[in-house]
Amino acid sequence: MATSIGNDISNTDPEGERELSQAALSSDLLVCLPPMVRETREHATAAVLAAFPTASLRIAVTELDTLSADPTQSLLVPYEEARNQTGWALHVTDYLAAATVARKYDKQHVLLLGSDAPSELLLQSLARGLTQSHADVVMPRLQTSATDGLVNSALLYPMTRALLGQDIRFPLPHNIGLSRRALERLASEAQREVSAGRSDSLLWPVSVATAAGYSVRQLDSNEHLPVPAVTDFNRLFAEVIGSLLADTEARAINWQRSRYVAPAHSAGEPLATSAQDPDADVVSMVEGFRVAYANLLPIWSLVLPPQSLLALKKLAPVPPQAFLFPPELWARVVYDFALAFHLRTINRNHLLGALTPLYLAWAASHIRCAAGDATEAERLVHATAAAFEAEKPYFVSRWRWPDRFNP
Amino acid sequence: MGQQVGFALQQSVHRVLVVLASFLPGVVASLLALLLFTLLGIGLASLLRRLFTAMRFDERLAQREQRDSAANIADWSPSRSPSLLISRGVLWVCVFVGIAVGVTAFDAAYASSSAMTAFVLPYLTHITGAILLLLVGTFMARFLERSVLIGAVNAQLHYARFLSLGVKWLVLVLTAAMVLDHLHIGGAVIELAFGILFGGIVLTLSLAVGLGSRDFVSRSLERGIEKTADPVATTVRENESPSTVRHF
Repeated sequence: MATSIGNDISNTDPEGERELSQAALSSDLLVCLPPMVRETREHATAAVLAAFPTASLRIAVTELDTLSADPTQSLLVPYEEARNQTGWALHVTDYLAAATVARKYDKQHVLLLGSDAPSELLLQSLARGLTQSHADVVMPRLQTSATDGLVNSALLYPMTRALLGQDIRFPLPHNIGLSRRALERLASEAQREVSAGRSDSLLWPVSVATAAGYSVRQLDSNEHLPVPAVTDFNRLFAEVIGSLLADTEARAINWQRSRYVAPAHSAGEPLATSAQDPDADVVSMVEGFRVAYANLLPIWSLVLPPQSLLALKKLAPVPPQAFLFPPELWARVVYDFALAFHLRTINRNHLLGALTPLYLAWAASHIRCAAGDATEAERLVHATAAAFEAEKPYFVSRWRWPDRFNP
Repeated sequence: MGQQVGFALQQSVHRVLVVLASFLPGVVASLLALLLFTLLGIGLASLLRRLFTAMRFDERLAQREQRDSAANIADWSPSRSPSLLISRGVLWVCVFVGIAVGVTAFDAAYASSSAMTAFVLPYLTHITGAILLLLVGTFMARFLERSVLIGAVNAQLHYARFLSLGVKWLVLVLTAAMVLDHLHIGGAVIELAFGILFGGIVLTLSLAVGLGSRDFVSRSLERGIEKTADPVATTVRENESPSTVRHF
């Protein structure tokens, strides 16, 4: 099971930093920067050098200017152009390119960055996770408000926790620290994806590392969730959730065996409801769910069992002021969609499109119940994850006997 | 007069009976061929299923296949069972062979009547083509209907179902017109009817979407004009009701 290194990097003391510098000095570190304009790259390079003042360090950049008179030039190494174009989450090609550089310069620890402006503290923290904790995969726990990263809270985190038994709050990495063996493993998975013609898919380091038996660590960070360059929600939702469900399908053998013991704080607690008037976003999302219920019922009925359809029927006329999507229902809906994705009950793009309004209904319920309180939102996310864990036997049964087990 | 009428009737009955006498053996032969080959197909399919079950064919194939191979045979199989796919394939191959043998038998029985052969046999190929057209058209109509329905629902269009039904019927009307044209039925009437129906559906959809999305279109146009003309105005508008929700 993953453990969180409970060191808030904003509170590290100078002694610890000196220690870290020594550790980084002794380690064989490669930092891979994403494609960026020259000025931004100079700032990012300066941040890396400030974090690791060592001569053994190598910084991989996409466009290496060989004629530059920069004194740090000797630390820079060329990096393949096959980087992701979304400028957001790391793609399969990122791992492939990083593995090539790590092999060439024989580096044992790699920081693979997706954000333009990595902070010195984040870099040090990732390196500390790799060198001191001897973890294979280190991921930062990002800061979010009550209304940030809702797809992660609704789907990515609960699925990762329930199915893989890993309590990683942000399983889709934007910045990640990897040991050499973990990177090689991810690169081989990435190569398989590219060979299958899915070079635009997202890779789930947590599931790959868990399947391989590697240690995965999460560390506290004061970094915020990066904003994706793609603004089309439907496209991004289909891309991310399609990759998640494909990964769920690919690792069915692993997640059917893993078991997660929920910590005390994440036990399912009753959802508190806010008496405040819902904001315009919530009203719009609830309205979207109603439009979907009126139109998509024939498609939903191909995927969802009668119990879930009945619950959605009861939910449809509820006004935004009292709208509440129960976590148990949401967990079952997601599991049923994951099963339909696996069985190809309907076209996969149609399936993901049909899931979108249901997700928006969950998001409306979440925002309304959290009422802008980040702590309450976090409690709700844990309640959702706990519901996914509680409903996991249902998913396993349906996965194994889709025709026989249909309550 | 009466004798002549009776004679004419006798002659016509005789001719019909002669035609039937030469026609029926062909029909019986073709039906028999179809029946025999269908039974053969069922037998072969059943035998293959038993053989594959005994060999644990599905499990072995699943182990050998790369789990993320782009063309995984199980993905294309009914109930994700390759053995079922193969046995059903064998059955349908037998049925098609039976049809071909039946048509040939029919042709042999009608060798004396060249006019009938020249008309019926090419028409059978037209019928096959028309059936294929109908199947593809129906499949396309269903696929496009769902695509439009889901896209429209996610755009929160209240007339999503109406729009998707319009698209579905556009494709179905087009398919029906193509099928009838392929079968040489209706002639110019079909072309005319198709033009009227297709144009009518397009006009209805245009009016409905145009009237229904009037506000949406005007808002997006206004936004586009403001963006190009005055970036400050856009910022002010966005600040008036900022969306605080971030899905990603």
